[in-house]
Amino acid sequence: MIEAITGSALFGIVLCLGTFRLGAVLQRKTKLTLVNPLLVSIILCILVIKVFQIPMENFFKGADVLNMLLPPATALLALNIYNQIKLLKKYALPVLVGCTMGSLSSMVSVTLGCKLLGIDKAISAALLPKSCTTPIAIEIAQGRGGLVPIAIVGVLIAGISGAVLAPHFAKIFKVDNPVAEGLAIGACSHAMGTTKAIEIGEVQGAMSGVAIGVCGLISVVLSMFLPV
Amino acid sequence: MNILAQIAIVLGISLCAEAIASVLPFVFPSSIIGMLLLLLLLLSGVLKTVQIQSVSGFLLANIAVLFVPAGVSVLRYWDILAANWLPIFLVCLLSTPIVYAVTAWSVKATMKLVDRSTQTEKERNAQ
Repeated sequence: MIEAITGSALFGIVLCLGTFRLGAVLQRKTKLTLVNPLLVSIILCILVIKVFQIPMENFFKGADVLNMLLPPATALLALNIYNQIKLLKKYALPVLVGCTMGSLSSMVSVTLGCKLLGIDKAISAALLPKSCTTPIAIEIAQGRGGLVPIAIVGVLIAGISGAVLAPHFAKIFKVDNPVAEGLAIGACSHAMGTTKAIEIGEVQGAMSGVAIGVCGLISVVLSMFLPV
Repeated sequence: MNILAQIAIVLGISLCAEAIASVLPFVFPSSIIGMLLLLLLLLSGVLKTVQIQSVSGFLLANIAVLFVPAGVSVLRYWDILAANWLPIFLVCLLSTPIVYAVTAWSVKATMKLVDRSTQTEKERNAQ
């Protein structure tokens, strides 16, 4: 019977949705940033696949349906930019300069760090877009020949660390301007950081949302020109 | 707007983006083209946000679940991750405060410059 269940294309979908929902409930209960729904879901799916020795092809029969929705969902990120167009216009130059410098510093620090620690190119290319929102990070990693799953690991580490540490960063780096604080959170930890930025303040949340889209676009362009 | 029409619009934009990506002389991710295409449609007023409200609200609110399959594929590269988890963790973790500080300080410096600058720069900023 287990084979009949795991052989169905519906199995992968139900497993992904079910574990993700469980992760979301756990996060609401524990109020811990580390208990991220995506992280919980990935770990639980891997556990189920390992414990029941489910062939990867079976899981991906259904999981690929979710993959198919990724490009349209990514395109919809344009709404985040469009909905904040007034703020974007008001702070056009600071947003542009801040997001360019932020994206550049992320890519340069990752490249240097990987060189220093002797990390393989397939991994360093995957970590390059770690500060970008996941769908954009996947595209950049793919384009530069990086391993996409490793890219997701990088995005998760950047997102969770930024979300947890953002309030401390503001004190350490003496950032008292809400616009600068919001953009900085969005630039270093994308959508996960934005969740925290919304808690900190309305302006911070909005600017963090703006930074996700703008940094994403800038990073795509930078990744095309950055030397290896 | 009808939910089927909304789905058709959203998927149609992605389809157009794939078509554009296939004829571009250089490699550029089609989902980013889709994003720019949608932004263009919204800014030009051809498309209104209400026309895709239900579908966009649903997909954007639940976008993170779509990354689960890609994350699970880490199983295929388990050996690589197991051998490199510490450097991967360190690089990503240490880069976070760097990006935060560089962004925050660039924004503050630019705002100061904009404030101090002449009328022309203020006009450019207000455009």
